[in-house]
Amino acid sequence: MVDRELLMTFVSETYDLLDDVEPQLIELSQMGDVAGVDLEMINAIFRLFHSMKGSAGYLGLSTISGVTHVAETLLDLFRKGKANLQVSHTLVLCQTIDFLRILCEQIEATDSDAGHEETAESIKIRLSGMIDEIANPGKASSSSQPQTVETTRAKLAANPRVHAEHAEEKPAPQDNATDITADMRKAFSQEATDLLENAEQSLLALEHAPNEKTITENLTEAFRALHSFKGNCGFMGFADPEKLAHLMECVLEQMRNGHVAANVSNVGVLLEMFDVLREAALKAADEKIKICIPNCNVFASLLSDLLPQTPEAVEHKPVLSQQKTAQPEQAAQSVQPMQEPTNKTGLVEEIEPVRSQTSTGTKSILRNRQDIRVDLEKLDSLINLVSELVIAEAMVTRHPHVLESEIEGLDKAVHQLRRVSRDLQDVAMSVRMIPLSGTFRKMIRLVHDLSSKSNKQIELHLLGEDTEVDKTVIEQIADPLVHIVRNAADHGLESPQEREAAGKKEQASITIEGRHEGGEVWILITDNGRGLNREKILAKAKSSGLVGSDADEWPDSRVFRLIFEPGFSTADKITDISGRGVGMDVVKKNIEKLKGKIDIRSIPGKGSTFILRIPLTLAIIEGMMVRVGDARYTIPLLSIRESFRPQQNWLTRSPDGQEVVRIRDEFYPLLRLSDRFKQASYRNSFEDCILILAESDHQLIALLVDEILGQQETVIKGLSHLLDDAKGVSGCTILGDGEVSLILDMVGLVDTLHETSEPEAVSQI
Amino acid sequence: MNQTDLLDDDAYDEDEDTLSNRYLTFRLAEEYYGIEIRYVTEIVGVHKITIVPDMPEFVKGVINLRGQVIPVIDVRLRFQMPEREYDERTCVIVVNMDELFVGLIVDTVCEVREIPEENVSAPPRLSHSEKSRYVMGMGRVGDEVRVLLDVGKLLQKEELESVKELEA
Repeated sequence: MVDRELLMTFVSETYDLLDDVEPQLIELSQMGDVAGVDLEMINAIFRLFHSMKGSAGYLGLSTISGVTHVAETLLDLFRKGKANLQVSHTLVLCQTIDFLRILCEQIEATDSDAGHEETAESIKIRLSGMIDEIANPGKASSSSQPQTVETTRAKLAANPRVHAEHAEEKPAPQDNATDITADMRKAFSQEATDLLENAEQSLLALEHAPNEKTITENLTEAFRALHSFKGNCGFMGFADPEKLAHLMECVLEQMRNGHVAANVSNVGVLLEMFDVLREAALKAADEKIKICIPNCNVFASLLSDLLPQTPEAVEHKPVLSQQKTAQPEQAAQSVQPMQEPTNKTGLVEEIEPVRSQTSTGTKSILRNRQDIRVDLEKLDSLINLVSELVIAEAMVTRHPHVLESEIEGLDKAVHQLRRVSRDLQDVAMSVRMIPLSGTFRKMIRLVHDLSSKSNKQIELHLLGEDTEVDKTVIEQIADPLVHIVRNAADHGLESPQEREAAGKKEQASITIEGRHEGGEVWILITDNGRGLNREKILAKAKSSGLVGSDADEWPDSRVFRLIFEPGFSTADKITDISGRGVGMDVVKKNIEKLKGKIDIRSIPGKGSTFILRIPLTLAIIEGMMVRVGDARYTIPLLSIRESFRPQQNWLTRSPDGQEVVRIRDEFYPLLRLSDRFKQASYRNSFEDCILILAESDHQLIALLVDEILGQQETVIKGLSHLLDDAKGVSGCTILGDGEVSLILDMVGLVDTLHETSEPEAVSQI
Repeated sequence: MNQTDLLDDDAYDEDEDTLSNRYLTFRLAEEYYGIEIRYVTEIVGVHKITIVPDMPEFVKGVINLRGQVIPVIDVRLRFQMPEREYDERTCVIVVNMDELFVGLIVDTVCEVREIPEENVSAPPRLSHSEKSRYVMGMGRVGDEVRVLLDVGKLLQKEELESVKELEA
């Protein structure tokens, strides 16, 4: 059986691939008839299915490889322009994707994809039905015929990860090959022997080939087998055979193009190479070590000599294995000697130590590999350490002795230290950040489904997909997004008739946008539907006893917030899509988990916008440090508008007890931080304090502090969840002297202001 | 700090099995208490505590433990005992309960003691007071008694909240 780790890698990779394919597929189908033109996209989808099939085949996941194979065949037809992609096709392909997801889940649980044969069969039948429909019987088989070498090469260039091209021969996923087990070695060895055998047969058949056409066919055959072999070598991390196979491929290609004569002597060289490869493949089965071929370079140059232009051949540097550097000891392993090439003895001096191959390998890794999978825990501890470092750096660079020191060079060194640690911090923080695009693109499928279910034409716009947010945020916002989009589609958007009657474009639209705003990430979901119905919400809330009659006076924002109450729904009937009043509750819960906020803006008849505002949890913010009594607090600089030295006559007290300050003819509610945090202020009078005008979501508030201590980069640390109830505090930071400073949260502070003032107002009535 | 040495010598290198019957004992007012040593990560003196608003009285705030910000609970206040000024004997016992780190402020830390299971009796359930439900058992050490506390219950958020409600 295959290694579990390998399986898990496959599963997570497949999820990624599926997530990739799905939106593209739907995009394609929306383009309708022009789909035939956009070959690039179909090719991309085809490739993704193909990679999946390859990996599944290698891992012995027969259900997956079976289904993907048929799907691939179907896609191949579109790719070759034999038919245009239609909605019905998209539907079945989407079902296929869903099915593959189910299988992946099962693999995660049970390590096997068995047990769904019936569903697999029915999907296959449906796919095959379409294939038959498209291609006439005579041509139906053509789809499974080999692609020309040109497309293969072109695709290799486009996507180095799709390595071995042809289907039946179990191509191998090249990266993420982590552990090569003994079983895999055996499988490889066996398969390699077969493949080499095939290739050899084809080459041998050349001698007796009756005409030009058969020669080309035989060469292509050999090429394909070799190519698969090369792919497998790449997967297993056998660099030398891979390199040789690659060069042989080049030679074969040139032969087919007629640049190199397919004469007996040239073929003879190739055949000899087959012997070398076969021996290597055999050894792979029973030895614990990686195989490498002694005198590999000699063989390589033998082959290169066959190629017409040597310089170009050098450019075709073999794609070496990524395993090679991972296990450098392999290079040092000695392998039993092989027979020297007999016909080109002059090349012996070109033998280089095998080690040099490794350096070539390293270069190609840098080129091929764009990401690595890392344990999140490791990342977190790295980020923690970096935060520590930043704090330690501040302790050093801000130390009075350092600041006042006149030692030559120290100043420069301190400056350097500061800069490097800042850069390091930026990089470390960015590591956990992932663009929103993956989450956003999942909505394409959802909107597609909703649109057909509800018979509404819905256009989806995605903006700011590159906006990067922390990984935990990605995980938490997926569900809320689904619920909000569903809600928008079901309640928000009108039917085409209604829209027409209201003089709106028949096609409704939903826009999902991500962007950074202040210290937060904002995700805006906007629909151009009918907007939230204030009256309906109020009526419903009153009838269910949620609010009293005073709610009539509430501002819209507060009324709208009622829809987040558990079980609250204004829908007259429960549909497939929504109406149970569960969704919005989930939205609120998840966003609260992220310490985020939700704003709703809505204009009747025009549509509504949901704004998910999520703090950048691990971020570093520019903070203003203030002192109140003995405590020092950090206020995010972004929320500060201005600061003043106040005058006594600015202060007024409104009847509800709320203090108000007047600044330039505007009135702002005053919050004395000393009261809020129960700190004894050192200032005797209002005039001695400092007034900070801070903004939270378009609301301004005046904060009274003892003094402003300065401005500095602040590493945000979360508070233990035991302290979740602290309102007006979003986190904390560690100061240069080791003391903890709370970071103030303006939204929370404004809320506490409401809470304290409102009950009083009621009691006075 | 000599309390930390105590830990190192006695319990730190031992495996889980031997940790299970060992307790860190500490004193609150006149009474001696014990908590299972496996929850204890370290003992430190009282740092400068940063007050966090909206917390029940016994949550004193947060401290910086080498870069980690952890909440601290005054165990006296938790048990509704009268507050006491912190002095050089006052200790913070840092416990780790399922990756939730919390500091427990106690009058003073005494020792690490092995109390075999047969010497631990079930807590008397006579009193229904708030305090008694944190008691895991009564450990007999010679003639003396150590009240063994259930650290999990001490820290559980629901418990904290219910206490808060009671206070309100």
